[in-house]
Amino acid sequence: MELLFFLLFAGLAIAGAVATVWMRYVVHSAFALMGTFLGVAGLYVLLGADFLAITQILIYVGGILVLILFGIMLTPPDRTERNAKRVIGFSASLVAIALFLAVQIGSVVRWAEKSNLEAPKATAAPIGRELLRPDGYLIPFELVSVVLLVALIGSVFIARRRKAVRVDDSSTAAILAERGTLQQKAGA
Amino acid sequence: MPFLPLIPLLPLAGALACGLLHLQVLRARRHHADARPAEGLIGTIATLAVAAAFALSLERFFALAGSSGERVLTWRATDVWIPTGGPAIPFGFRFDALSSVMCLVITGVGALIHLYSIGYMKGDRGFARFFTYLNLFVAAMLVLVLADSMPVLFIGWEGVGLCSYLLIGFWYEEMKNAEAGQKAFVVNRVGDFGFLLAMFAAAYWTGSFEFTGVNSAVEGGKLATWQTTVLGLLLFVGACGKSAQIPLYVWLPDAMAGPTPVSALIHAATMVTAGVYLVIRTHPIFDVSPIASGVVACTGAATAIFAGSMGLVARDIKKVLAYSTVSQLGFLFLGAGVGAYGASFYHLVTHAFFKALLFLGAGSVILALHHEQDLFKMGGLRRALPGSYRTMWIGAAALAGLPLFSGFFSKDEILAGVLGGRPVFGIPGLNWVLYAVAAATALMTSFYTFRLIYLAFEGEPRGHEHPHPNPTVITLPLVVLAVASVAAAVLGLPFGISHALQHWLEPVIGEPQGHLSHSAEILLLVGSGVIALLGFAIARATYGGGLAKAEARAAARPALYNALSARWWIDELYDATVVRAVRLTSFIAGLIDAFVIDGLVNGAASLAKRGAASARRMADGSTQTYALWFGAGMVVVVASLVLLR
Amino acid sequence: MNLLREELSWITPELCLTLFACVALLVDLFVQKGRESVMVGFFSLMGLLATAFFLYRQYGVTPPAQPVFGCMVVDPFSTLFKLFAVGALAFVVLFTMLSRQTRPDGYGEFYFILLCAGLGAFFLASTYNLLLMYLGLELLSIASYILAGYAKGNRRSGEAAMKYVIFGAVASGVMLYGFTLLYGMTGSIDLTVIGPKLRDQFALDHGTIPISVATGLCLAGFAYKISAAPFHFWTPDVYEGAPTPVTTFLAVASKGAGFAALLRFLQAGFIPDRTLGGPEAMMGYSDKLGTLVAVLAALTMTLGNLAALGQTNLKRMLAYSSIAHAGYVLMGVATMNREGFSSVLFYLVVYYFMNLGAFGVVMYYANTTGDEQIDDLKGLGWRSPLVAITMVAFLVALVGLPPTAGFIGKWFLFTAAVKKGFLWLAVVAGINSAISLFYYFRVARAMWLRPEEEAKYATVHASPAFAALLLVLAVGTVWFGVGFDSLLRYCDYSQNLLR
Repeated sequence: MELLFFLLFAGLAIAGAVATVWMRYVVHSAFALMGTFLGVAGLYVLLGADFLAITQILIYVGGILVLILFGIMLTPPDRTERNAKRVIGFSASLVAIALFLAVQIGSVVRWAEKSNLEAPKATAAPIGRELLRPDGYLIPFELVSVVLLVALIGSVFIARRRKAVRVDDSSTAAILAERGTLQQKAGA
Repeated sequence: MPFLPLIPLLPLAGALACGLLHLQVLRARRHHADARPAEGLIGTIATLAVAAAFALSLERFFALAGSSGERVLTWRATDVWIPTGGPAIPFGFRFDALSSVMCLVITGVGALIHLYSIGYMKGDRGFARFFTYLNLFVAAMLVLVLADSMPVLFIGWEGVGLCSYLLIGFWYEEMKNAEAGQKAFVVNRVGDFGFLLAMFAAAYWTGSFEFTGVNSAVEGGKLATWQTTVLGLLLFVGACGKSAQIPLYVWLPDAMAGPTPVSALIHAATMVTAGVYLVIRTHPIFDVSPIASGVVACTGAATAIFAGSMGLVARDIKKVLAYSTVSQLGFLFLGAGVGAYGASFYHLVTHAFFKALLFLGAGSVILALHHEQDLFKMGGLRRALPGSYRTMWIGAAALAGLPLFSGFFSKDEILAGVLGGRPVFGIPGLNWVLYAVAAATALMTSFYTFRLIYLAFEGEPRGHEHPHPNPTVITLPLVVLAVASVAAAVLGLPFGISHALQHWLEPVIGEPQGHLSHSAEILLLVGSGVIALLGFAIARATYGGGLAKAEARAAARPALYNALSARWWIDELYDATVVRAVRLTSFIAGLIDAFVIDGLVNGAASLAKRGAASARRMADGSTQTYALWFGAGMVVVVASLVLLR
Repeated sequence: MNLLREELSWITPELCLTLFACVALLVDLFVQKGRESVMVGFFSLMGLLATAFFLYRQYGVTPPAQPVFGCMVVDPFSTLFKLFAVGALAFVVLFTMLSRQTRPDGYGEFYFILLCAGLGAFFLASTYNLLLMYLGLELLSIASYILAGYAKGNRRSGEAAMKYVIFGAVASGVMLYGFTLLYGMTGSIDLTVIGPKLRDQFALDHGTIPISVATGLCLAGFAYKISAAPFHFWTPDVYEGAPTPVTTFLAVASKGAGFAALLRFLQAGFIPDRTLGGPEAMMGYSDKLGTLVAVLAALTMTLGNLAALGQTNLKRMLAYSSIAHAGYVLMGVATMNREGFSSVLFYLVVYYFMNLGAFGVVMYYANTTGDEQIDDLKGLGWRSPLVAITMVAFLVALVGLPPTAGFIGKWFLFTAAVKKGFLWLAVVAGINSAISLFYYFRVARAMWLRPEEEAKYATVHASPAFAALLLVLAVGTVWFGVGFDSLLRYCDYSQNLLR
């Protein structure tokens, strides 16, 4: 039974990933990505990591994927570069497969095991405690908050509508060049 | 503060002072484009700095002469300047028989040339800059000769190279000059590479960076013969670069682009002898390796005759002297290669005097003719510039080796050393071949030297400009150097009359190897004298009547020339034999130069260029390309870790 | 609670930096218009000064390696790199303040992100925990992406930031995969635990393929961060497109932090303790890793130098030059021993001075003339001699000629490599140094060997503050070329890592 579900979720995740790479339209790719996310979430559930599974669905499916779809919606389509992307995607997947096989072939090595592994119950509470325990993950947890703050402020700054900005030193030359092309256009 | 470090520090301080004054001039030029440097002040500071270093060297020299025992003064700043894990690199100076004489020559000739430069550079916009470089050069050269370990020597070695390069390109507004500077710099890098390798190899094999340590290890037989051979050859590659030997000579003739005092000080009297100095300093290595010393001797001889033949037909007065310098440096290496270190060093000293004299004299002529350097446009300057004429005649006589002038004795000692010295490559017969080459070179030397004198000073004026007389600051150094060119003879007269220099150097270079009998010495001496006089006679017969126009014609249209014209038959002969032969030689040399040497250099350059182009192409700005490289790189990294054993 | 307080006291520098980053963000709101640059910059500098003070107090404590919160460590190694980062940040802040034409809105954000990037470097230097290492790297990277695209409205800057993001994401993904494999094999994210576990794996003779894959992936990630070939392609585009102070930060602080993490990663996990004697297979693996790094080093310096040859843009040229220098530094990494790592630290300090200086001159020049072409430097030597003279000092150091620190730094790298048996690498590096002479020389030639009349721009005045900055850097560049004993000892002492 468990194996069946494992195969189901794993298949979903892999099929989704392959489809993401191979789909002709970006929107389709995005939806295929959702399959991957859901499959991974399912795997988490099978591993007993319920908190992680829910977070996966909430953040990846609910947040990131929606964001991607919005991004696609708001971007004018451009069909010229698809071939190049497919080549890259193809070689990238080849690389990934090669690496995976290499690990598998070489895995006469014993993976680390926890001997006294009892079936986990609800994981949210222990995770929360662990995150705030000084000898646990306190520092990484706090650092993540800084990372997010930086990302937040940075994205707000970049997205903020452009006021009459005099740009930095290095770009003066570029501005001049741009002006040059504009004038050429005006002249033509 | 001990005296020894002050010797290089004084010129360094002078350089700093001049540099600051130069900055001040630059600042003033922001407001007045024609702001002039305080020439008197700068010249005085620079000259005094070197003169003081000379005085100090003299004081130390007498202290050294008065000392007993090993005859060496040392100074150590630190025993562990650079810790390497292996042998530590110390920082210190060593004032012994060899370096003391070098110091005296450098500062003595240097001070005179500084004095001369005050007159020569008068009114130049870069007056202060010139003296900054010149002082800096003297400081670096002193570090070079005073160094007691190879890394410290390397500091001076690079320092003089830098100054040389800066001064060759001193008038950088002309592309030609800047390129000449660049050429010198690049060619010297090849030599430096050899020297660096030698330094590391020496430290690795002998466990010491110091000359005493390396030398005693070699003398103690700690190194296998192949090791000393490798060491010697690498050192010689370094020496070749600095001292312009085949195949690294190409930069020196071009280096004449610099102001003439620079040619006199750096490219004749001091810096270019650094290679010979290095060989003498590390002579035990060459003593035990017949291959290394043989290569030194043969390269020296080949360079001597090759460069000498090029000097025969050069038209530029400074080029004649430049080829002559290369040729004489070849002599020095020949002497060092056969183990006649004393003779080689003796000739080094006398050469410093008379070649500096000749260059300065040439400079005075050039200055008087408003920067005309073509010999064929000179002539008849004897009356207009009597001071230059007389002193240059003495210099020429010394260079040609006319009897009783200093060059006569020193050159003869090298020739005697070639015959009496150790067999080259261990084959005794080769010494005779080398002797023949050296004798032929001596003949050429004598000929082209007096050709220069006759073309420049005798006959009718061919130039269109009126020469103006030279000031005292210019003639005074000429006179002093002329006296020195004659008087230096007493450092080493034959038949044991005076072996002052040889004796003085014995703590460093040991007893001279091999002796010739007195009768052989007399024979050689007479032979040398005859050779020199013969060259003089040919030159006089050819050019004594002001025949430069004929030479010009002969050089331009040799085939059409009327061979029966009795009056010119010497020129014809000359044209038919010497010029042809030389043409052929220089054609072959040109081919070698163009295809082998240039080919190597250009090949390396174009390889780098092509590599650069493809390296740039790899970064074409496209994200996809980058991604491909990234992925490929990742696969290669992982695969090599997985697959390699 | 006392325990917590004591452990907190060990991370005062980090706390201080975070605090002042927030202060910088807030101060921007309260100062009057037009004075933001100065005020915010001033507060940032104060923060850096305070941080440096706390760092200084941590230096030389006993025991030399102090574990903190079970995932960080305060040891001389981390302190050295943190001081390095703080110093670099200070100069970047000063450069930004002195940059005359810089008028981006939002100084608060700029300095905040800059200081947070520094925080990322801090964590990279002082952790042996894979998770924290990854987070530090991400913090540094995300901050760098934003900084690189800071000049909004400039297409070059935007494109640079975009490329940077894409490659950064790929690289950190690759690295994370490597980390995951390591975790899977050892069950720990703690390098001090991973090291012995790996040793056991080697001892069991269980085939090293998974370890190889994991290490290879991690190595690719690090190589990206220090811009080693063939993961360096983003570098020139980003360096050229980003505002110059940011480029300076990327070239100096970010690269230094990358090396710090790489050294710690290798030190903790992959260098067998020769005195104890690890399993034979591990010795072999360590050497193999070293050889691979040596090959990467050779490739990096050659590609960097060759590509630099034909550049006409000064910043792009310096970008390639910084790639080449990463190659030189990797030479020391390849030795996989204490001496080599010391030489790496030494060279990074030297690199810090000469590169900050060179970029400073570029910025000064671009500021006053709006130009970055090498040929347009013509006559700079005569127009502003002080700047040009300091530039010559930096260039000479970059080539690696005496009497500058560049020579000594290279000297140690070379000797370390030769002693380890990488003679070929030293030869390649020597040839590369010779090649580098040409393009560095071109700058000097443009500045000095062209007559004053050809100068494209009128006299450009260096403000006294700026001149002082350059002088400080130039003096450092030359000083460490002569009196480097103390620095060398410091670098060697910094090798007392927690094992």
